[in-house]
Amino acid sequence: MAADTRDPQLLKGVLPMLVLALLTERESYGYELVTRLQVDGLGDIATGTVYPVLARLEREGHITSRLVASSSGPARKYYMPTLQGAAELSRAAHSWLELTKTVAGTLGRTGLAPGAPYPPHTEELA
Amino acid sequence: MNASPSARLGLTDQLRRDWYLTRFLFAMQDYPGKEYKRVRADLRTDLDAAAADVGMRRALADLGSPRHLADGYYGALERERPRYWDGAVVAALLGTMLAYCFLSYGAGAVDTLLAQGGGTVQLHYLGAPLTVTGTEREFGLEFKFSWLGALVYLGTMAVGFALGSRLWRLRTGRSAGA
Repeated sequence: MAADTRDPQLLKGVLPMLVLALLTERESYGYELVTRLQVDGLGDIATGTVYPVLARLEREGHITSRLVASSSGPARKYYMPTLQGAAELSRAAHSWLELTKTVAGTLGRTGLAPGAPYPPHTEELA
Repeated sequence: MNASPSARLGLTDQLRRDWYLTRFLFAMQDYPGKEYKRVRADLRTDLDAAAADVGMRRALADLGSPRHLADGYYGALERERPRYWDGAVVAALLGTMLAYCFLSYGAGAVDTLLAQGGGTVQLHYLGAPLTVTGTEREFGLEFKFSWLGALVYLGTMAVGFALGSRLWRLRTGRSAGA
């Protein structure tokens, strides 16, 4: 999906899950995590969008952090999921997969399957 | 930690970062104090780390405006909180407006007295007694304290504060938390 057509509200809903998933794969510090999200396809995502999510996940006990000293630069705060975070990721992923299955089924039946060039005109549907 | 992160930043970068954090502080006035301290410390650490990767100018640009970033943190709270700072601004504007109206009212009364040949008149402004004098030699406003006047003045400001700060969110939060 092109970045300029992505619904920010949709991203807001799945961002905590994506952050948890990436941190499960490998612990990261804030800026590195943003870079990883960008590499995965969220090219327009800003650090200012991700940091509040990290703060919330940490406040809710889904992730924890540790400061790691660096010989070549400032200390970095690395985030990693907790057991509670792993459970939350599992729940969110299951919920998301169920939802996408439903959405794909509905869109497929109405001729709006993912990859379709554009929605049919209302006249065509009539 | 062996070295202070700030020690590795140039003076210009430190100033840029601190100026951004100062603006962020103003945007986060109504954020829970204890959590704000942690957010600020984390942000500072993350900024320093990001600056080491891409430079402070780029790191700050990626964060967006402090106000926008603060909105993100407010949005990540479990419930909406009152905006006391906004309420204070509205209350101050209303207080200033009432004071301006008082002066305009008094000046208009003096002008009327002078047009009628001068004299002294007893009036009321927002329930408070007001003595207006206007002659060729002098003019003045004498305002006496009254509970009614104070009640109307402060009451108006209090209503402005309540509306501006969205005080009803306190009740919504309690209901949601119950």
